[in-house]
Amino acid sequence: MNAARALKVALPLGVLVVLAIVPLSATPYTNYQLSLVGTFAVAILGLNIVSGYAGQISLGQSAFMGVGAYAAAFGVAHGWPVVLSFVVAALLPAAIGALVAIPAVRLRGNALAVVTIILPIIAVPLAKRYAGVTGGSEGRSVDWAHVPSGTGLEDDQWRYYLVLVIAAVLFLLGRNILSGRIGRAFAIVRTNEAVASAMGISAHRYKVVAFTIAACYGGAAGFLYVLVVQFASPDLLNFQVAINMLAALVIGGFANLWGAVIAGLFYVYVPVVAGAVDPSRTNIFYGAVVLVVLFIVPGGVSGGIVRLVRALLARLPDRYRRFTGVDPQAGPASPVPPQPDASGPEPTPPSLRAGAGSRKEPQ
Amino acid sequence: MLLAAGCGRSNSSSSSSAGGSSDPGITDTTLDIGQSDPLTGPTAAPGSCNLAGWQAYVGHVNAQGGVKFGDGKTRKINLKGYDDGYDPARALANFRQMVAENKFAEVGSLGTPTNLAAMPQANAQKVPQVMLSSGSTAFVNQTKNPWTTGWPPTYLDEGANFGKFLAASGKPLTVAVLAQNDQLGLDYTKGLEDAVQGSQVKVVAKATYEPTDATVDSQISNLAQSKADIFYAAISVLKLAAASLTKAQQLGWKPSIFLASLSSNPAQVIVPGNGTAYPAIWSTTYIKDWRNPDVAKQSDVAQFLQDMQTYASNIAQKDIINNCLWGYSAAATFVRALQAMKAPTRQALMDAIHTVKANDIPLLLPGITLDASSKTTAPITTLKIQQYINGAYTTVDTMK
Amino acid sequence: MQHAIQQIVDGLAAGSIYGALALALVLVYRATGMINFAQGLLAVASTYIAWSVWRAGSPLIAAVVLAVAAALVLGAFTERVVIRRFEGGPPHTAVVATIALLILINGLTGSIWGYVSQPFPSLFPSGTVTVGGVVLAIPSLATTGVLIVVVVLLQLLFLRTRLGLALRAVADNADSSALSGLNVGRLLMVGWALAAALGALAGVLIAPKVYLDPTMMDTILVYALAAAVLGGLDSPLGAVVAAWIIGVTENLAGTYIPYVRDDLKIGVPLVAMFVILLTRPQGLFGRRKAARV
Repeated sequence: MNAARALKVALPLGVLVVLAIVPLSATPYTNYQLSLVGTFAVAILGLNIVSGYAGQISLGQSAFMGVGAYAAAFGVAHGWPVVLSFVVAALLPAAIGALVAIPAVRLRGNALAVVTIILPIIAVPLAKRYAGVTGGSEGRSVDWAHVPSGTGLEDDQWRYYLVLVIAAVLFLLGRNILSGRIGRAFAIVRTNEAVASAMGISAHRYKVVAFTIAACYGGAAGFLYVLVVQFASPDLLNFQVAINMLAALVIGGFANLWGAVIAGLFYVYVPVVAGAVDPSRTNIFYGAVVLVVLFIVPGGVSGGIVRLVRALLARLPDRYRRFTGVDPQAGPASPVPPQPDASGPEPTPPSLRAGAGSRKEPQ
Repeated sequence: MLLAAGCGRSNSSSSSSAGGSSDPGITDTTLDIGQSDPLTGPTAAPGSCNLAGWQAYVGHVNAQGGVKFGDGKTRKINLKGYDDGYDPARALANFRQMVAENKFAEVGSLGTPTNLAAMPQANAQKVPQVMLSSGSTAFVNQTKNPWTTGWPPTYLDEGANFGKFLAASGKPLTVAVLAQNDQLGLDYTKGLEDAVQGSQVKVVAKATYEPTDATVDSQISNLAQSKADIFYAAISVLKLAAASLTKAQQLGWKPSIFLASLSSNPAQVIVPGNGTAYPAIWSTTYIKDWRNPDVAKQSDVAQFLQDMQTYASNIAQKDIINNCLWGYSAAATFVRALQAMKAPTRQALMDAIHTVKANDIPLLLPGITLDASSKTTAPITTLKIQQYINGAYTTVDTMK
Repeated sequence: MQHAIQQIVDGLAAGSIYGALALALVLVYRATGMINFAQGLLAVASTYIAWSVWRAGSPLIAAVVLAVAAALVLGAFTERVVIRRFEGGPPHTAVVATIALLILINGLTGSIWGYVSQPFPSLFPSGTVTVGGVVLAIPSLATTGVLIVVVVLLQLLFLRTRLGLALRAVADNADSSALSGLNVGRLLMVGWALAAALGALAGVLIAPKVYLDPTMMDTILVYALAAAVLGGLDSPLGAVVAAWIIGVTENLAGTYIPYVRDDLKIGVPLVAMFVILLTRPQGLFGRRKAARV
């Protein structure tokens, strides 16, 4: 086994080991934040699947996350077995996602994006109205997922590990989905739908599948949210959260699944850093950071890291290159990621403005 | 190796503070406290004003050398503000950050869902979460949440106060209600309805609005159909309160107006809404009206205005809204508790708070008593009705 | 019946508010092919500039003119310095860049001018006109009038002037335009500048009614997006008509459909928009575009 493959196995394992040890010495505050990172990474992974891999911009992911959170909180409050809560939290939004997507994906591009906004917009007043289920505008507090006695752990560590395990499983699952037939179909649908139909791939069906999976992940993330925050309220459903998730996704990058993890880190930590700089000017800092990152790595941080690593490896003398098994000219070997359409980081308007091809979508 | 790793977390988690020699965040000369408010986003105006009010009072006492605590030591207060953008997850993160940064207590935070998210954790970790700026009844049950206290009267109390005022008039009055679509609005409405039960006052029309609404024209138009005598505005968003006043008179509906305390600010509501077109405008209050030039001369009000200018100059004087005064007054209440605090522990703080019973807290109206000893009510439960006459508020006892 | 007409009239007034911002969105889209989420905030910043100048003692009309001029500069500057970088790339990045601008400008306006809502004077007299028992506010009537004039001007711009033709060409196919000798970069700047100016106008028309603060346009943006999309993203007339339909539908649904009431009324026009788009994806007045394989 050559070094590249060894690295591909060793690296994730190493990361996993580090992630497993961290909570043992970190403060509850840090563990809470990291658990939130995992939670939002799962939600944003779902968003990546529909908006990145399948190319359908969704501004409604917060609604699915919120529904999942409410399902989890409701289940906990009514004494459901935890597994049942999780299943409902993941499947209920998936069902809603599928139902909405079936008509919605007949629209394209901007129209679809604006239609997805409808979800968080009506979810908030609906959540407030059905207060019996949701706890109304003040939300629902739960008290659960305490660490079983005898493990020697504290609550925050235990919840961190739960999030870590569930998120890791979901990431693996996502990776498998995306590297298979579904992922390839997504890639074709994203690039050009007419071509897809010509190839016998039902663009409509795969877009619905993408939305359903995204909603499912969103719901699972909602379950994790209630696990970590122990509280569900309409504030999770709102439009602002959906927008922030999309921004975080673009920052993290569509290029590969790790983009969602970086997005989660961004989503959770930038407000914290902003608050440390000046608590009354957090959005100036936030907006500026997003712009700066986009300027430096318009394809997202994860894509930037991949390019950097590849560029570094390319500088190795030939004999080492053969040893590492890396061919800098080859494309990525893992799930078909969406590549940014621009060929470089310095687009000049005339030559690179994609006309009616990839940029403009039929209305 | 695992044991060694475990040793890194010494006393950061659920530390019990009962009987400890001293708790984190307090030394012989300083006290560290934190506050989480929406400093950005749609609720940034009340949030920033609240923090400014606290900063003004804390700056004032620090300039005088600090506070003499009940244990004899004089300490200065270090107040740190955190932004939660009205997001419950961030508010909880801020709380945990305060604990990690060894703050002694969380004080005066503004907001309801945000404080609700942090409340279970504060009580589990026995960290004081006190003088919260919210009228929600969720924060006044100290039997359930012994480490959490509110400060202002609840929205239920406000509504009840006005309901009693109306009922006491003995007149058959009809009321149209525009309420915020959340627990705040529900509580205001319930307080009113319960208090007028059995009297000649009837609620004949109801409508709701969202804080994010651009306009409430449609709601006002619907309410105007009822031609009610009283318009009960359970509104917390100043611009929408002003817009209600503008629209109602345009439609030819000129009821008497009740403004919730959150939106009774003249400069942002009554004046732009041309409030003088209405026969009467009332609000509930427990705070002096600093805009009244005579009242502004009173020593506590003059001191407040000066402190705002010195220690919280980010808020221009014309932009001072009620939240600044409430924050200042809540801070003063907190300092009263510190003055009764017999030991440098969190438990001692909670005990001290329960001893605070005063009617000379700065900015509170004469006749308003603050009694923080109750475990089932907010520290302030009394309110007065004030009427807007000739450009300023005056307290009134009965309806004319 | 009179009450229903009042609700319709109020709905049209609200629709004019949404439509004013929607026009700016349509202009940016028509000229650059992009949806600008920060359009509302650019309008707010311009309105604050007008407010500051007015408070310093200037007559209102001069303050407004100054603000519109400032908006031209702001729009051009934003395109050149911020957005230009993202224009050749994937649309998601450009959209998120505008979202970042939204957040940034929100923070800047709040930091400079504070978060308390400020009353803003109207360019028009503030009385009302009563027709058959239905009350119409003069500023709302005037706003609607201005809107119609702007729609006509925009149609003239795009269909009858060389500049309009150039803008459309650049948005449609930048490569060919460049080859035809058009200065694409400058035209994009012009597009953003004009849209920002239109946004500033929208801001000073809207602010007297909804009061000026950094969040003034947040909810309106959602309505404006819906109106722009429903109308067909490249049709100014479509955006305004759609905005009116949205305003009226919302009010009537909230008043007369018992289940809907006030809290869900925003959902009714949005769902209606969805349904209409399903049968007519190009929007009410949009043009059908062919997909190139």
